[in-house]
Amino acid sequence: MLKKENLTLLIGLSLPVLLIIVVLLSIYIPRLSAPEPQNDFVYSIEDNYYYGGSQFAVKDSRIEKKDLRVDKDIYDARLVYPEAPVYEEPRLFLYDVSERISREISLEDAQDLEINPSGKSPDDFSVSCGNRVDGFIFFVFDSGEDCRQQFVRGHGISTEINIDVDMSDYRYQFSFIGWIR
Amino acid sequence: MDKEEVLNRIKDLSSLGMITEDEVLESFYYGKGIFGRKGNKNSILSTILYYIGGAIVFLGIVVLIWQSWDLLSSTTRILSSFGAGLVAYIVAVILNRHNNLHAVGNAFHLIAGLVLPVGLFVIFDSAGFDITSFGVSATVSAILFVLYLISFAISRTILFALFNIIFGTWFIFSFTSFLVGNSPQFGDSDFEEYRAMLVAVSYILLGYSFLKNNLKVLTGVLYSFGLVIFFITTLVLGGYSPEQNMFWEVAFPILVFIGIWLSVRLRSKSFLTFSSIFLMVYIIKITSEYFANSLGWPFTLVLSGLLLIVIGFVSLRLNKKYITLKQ
Repeated sequence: MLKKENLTLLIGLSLPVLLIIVVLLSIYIPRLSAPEPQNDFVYSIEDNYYYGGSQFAVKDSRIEKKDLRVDKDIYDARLVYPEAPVYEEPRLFLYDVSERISREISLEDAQDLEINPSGKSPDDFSVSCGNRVDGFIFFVFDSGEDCRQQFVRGHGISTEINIDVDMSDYRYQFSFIGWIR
Repeated sequence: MDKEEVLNRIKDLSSLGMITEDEVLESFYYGKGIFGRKGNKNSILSTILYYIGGAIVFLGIVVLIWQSWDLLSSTTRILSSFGAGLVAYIVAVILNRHNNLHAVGNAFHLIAGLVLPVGLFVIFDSAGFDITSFGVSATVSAILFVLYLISFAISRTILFALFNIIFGTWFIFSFTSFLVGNSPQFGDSDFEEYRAMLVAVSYILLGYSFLKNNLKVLTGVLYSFGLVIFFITTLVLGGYSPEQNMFWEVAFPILVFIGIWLSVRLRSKSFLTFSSIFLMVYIIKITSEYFANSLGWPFTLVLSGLLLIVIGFVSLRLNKKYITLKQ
């Protein structure tokens, strides 16, 4: 029979191994039964430096562009900071969930699409920000939502969205617009 | 050979002048996992100085690489970091073959244990990997863990056990972070807290299992780290009003009292000290969380202060009656 000290040693060493197994299972088991997302969607990348730029919205299932600038001069950062980057118009992208690729589309092409702006797709998937963990070695300094990475999430699985824009640049902001009907 | 025979053999050798007092004491302390100690303060001091020297050598290597980073080629960077660590490890192995050079050998093992991770990071950086990624971190820690696991299997010293625990913990954290990635699935859960809690429990169990072998010196350290991490994660899981988690808020005092009970059972000062400290922390937290508005701050402070005095007094009594006296 195992001595008490040996038993605690065995349990003490087994716990971290068990942790790794549980993490692996919680990642891979849902993938076995979860359905593949079926609905493509449209998103935009907006210029985060300017408060009053343009934005896309959905009205009557169609995408439209809204100019939020009340007075263009007020929101022109270059009047205050001449070195500020030039304002970039928001760009529209169509995300193909089966191929996992983003394709830039024009507003005209986008307006031909019928859009469902609901947070959840008909097959019960959603688009959500990633989770950031800042740390080194085993010290976790900070953790929380990181919207530079976006995921299609649902049924216990999540797959990263391949965004064709350098999202490490904080000026760019991801905005989900809606699912294509 | 039983104990009586060993003692009689020592008597014989002593009468023949073939064994010295220092040699007997050194063997005795070696069995306890205390190296280079011959029962006098000078040798303890010299052992401490060896380790301080080892740590200073490590700092020197790090500063050298950091200051000359742009001037050094990739090969020179690797040689001055990983190469230095490897040489320190080999020197330590050679020195440890001689009984009277164990302490110096361990100082070189300390240099190797500190420099080798830096060296491995330099290698990965030179190969173009992102060394801040959890993947690289997991690989580096896995290499070091395997190296020191083999070292420990060959020579069951405290230093190797300590490095195994450090590199093993680092591997667990970095590998699970690598697996989880930035997936939002784990962002919603309290994954980091539960992971830290599990490692803390593991530390406490390891500490207990070392009680009756030459790694006993690590028990107190493992208990202390384990308890601090365990109680902090439990407090974090409990949260704060209005977003508190009632389960962990209620479980916390129960766990603290289990800690105090275990301090008596195990005669452990670490259990008593940290359980008492975290009971005080809990009382301050709960009174400020729930009673500050109803009772008012002045009365809450008076109440908390009185409870802290009671906890301090009870802890002191428990320590005197069940821990210090029985030790």
